[in-house]
Amino acid sequence: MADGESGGRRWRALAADALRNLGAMRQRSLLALLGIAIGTAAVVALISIGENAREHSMRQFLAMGADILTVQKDFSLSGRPAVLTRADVDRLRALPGVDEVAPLTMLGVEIRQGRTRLPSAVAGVTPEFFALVQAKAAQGRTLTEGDRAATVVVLGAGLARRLAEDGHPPVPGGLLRMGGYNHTVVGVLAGSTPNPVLPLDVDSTAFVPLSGVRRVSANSDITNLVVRKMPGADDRDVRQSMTNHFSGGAHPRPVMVQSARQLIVAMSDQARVHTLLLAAIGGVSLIVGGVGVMNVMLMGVVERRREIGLRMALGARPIDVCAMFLAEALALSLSGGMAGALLGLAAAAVYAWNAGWAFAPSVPSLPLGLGMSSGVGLFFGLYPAMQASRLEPVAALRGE
Amino acid sequence: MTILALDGVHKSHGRAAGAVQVLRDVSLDIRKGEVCAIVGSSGSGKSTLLSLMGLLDRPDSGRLRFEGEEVGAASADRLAALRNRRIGFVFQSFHLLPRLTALENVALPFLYRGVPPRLGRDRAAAMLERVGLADRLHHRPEEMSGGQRQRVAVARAVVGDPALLLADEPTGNLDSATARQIIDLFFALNADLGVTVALVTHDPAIAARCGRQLVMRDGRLDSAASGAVP
Repeated sequence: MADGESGGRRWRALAADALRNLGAMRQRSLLALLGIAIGTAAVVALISIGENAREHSMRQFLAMGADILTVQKDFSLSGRPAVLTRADVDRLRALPGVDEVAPLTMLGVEIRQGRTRLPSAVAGVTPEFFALVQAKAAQGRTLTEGDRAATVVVLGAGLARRLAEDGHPPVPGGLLRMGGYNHTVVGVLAGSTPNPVLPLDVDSTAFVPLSGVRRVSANSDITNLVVRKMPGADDRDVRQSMTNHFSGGAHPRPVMVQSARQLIVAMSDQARVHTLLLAAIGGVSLIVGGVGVMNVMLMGVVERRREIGLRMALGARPIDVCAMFLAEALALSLSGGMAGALLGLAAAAVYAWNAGWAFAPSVPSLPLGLGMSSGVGLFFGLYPAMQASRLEPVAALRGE
Repeated sequence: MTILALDGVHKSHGRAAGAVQVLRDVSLDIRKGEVCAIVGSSGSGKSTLLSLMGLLDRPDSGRLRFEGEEVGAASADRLAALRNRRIGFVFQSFHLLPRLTALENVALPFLYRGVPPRLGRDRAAAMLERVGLADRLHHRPEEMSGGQRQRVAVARAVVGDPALLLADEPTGNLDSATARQIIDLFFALNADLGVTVALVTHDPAIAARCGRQLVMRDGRLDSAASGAVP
């Protein structure tokens, strides 16, 4: 064609024409726009909320101790030598990059206070444990070296609350009966959120000296080691050298060494699935909006048959007519998408503020939302546009 | 010189069994520069003939040549290009886009020609001046009388400098005084621009003014009655 060089100008003119046409159908365009806007807002808001939630839990988790690794015995047959020993504690402590090691014996024991009987998790720990997991006493104190032979117990905040339900809150100096021995309560810990790296929930556990575990249970083997790495050490190296420690030697021992990194990876995988799910929900509402666009465009094609016929008489090719309707659908869904993206961010910000999270607008959600809305517009605009472009000029002019 | 030639053209509407023969074996030549009236009773096939002449429709059989080019089987895009550049249409019901101003309506053909909008508007304004609507450039169709609307439509039809101007009962919705002005405008444009004019009309007075009459009867061209008016 002779006007090939003016192709860009031609498309710009067609786009301007499309916008004018939309303006003429103000009310109906507005309704379709609203559908797209709500759909896009849902996508953007849900993705942002999902991402903020993930960041929030990640931040919380990092604050609690991404520098913690744990060793757990896989299984042990009775009669066989203990898998984890005091010797391991000293050997691990000597490994490069390891800051502190705390051995742990996990049990389930019934606690009695007066007439109250409460099954509870009990952990035998050494004094270093409390510093290692940053647990502080709200009342009394935590365990010390001097408690090694004493019959004492430190209670997690949640456990203390449950024991208080009968009207006698445990206080330092009080007595609790566990495994046939009266244990003196020496402290109650401050409340804390569960740390997913630890094998126990500090809040709902009763802590006794490691050497005192024998009083409450026949099996006093060490079940777990909690390890803190040096601040600068790479957790992968530390994990590897710990694994080597257990798998080396004459008798490799079945243990599981876990680091915070593994948990973070698992958590973010889970969060990604959540985010995808939320985006899919938003996508469904966007598709509903797209059906609205298709409706408006189909009505437009029917109502504007004479106009289509006239434009064809004036020289519009089928593709020009198709482009006109596509441009209109695109303009509708893009402006709806932009409005929706802003709306969605605002909704996510309100949600984050309500949940007490730090709000950070999700960067990929904006292009994703806009891309999805314009994709939906093009997809649902294509059918009406094809319908329009297939009209016969004569029939269209007559308005048939 | 022949601008448009129909040779043994047949056209029917509707499908297979229910099809109605609208044009039967129509052959005619339109010569460059003439003003030609197509007359006949309702249903005689005048409008269908005009649609074929305007390349809005294709003949079922027979040959249709526009400026020497065989267009009976041309692509939709080629027909659109010819309509855009070589043919202008005027309709009985004006067919102006109500949301556009007179200027924008007249500039519409340029949209499909890739002409820069400013240049298109300039040419549209000049043409509106030519048809006597210099003071109505920014009025919308609803703000204008029937005669003015048809002038806008005529301006739109000839703004692209076509070779052939087709009008389907252009005065059908106008009172006789306004109708005369519109027909005068056709003759003036024919004289000034040299555009060939073919118009369908019911009005014998208008037909009588045209240099040539094509009389349609039952889908056939009545060659005895047709011909140049002495």
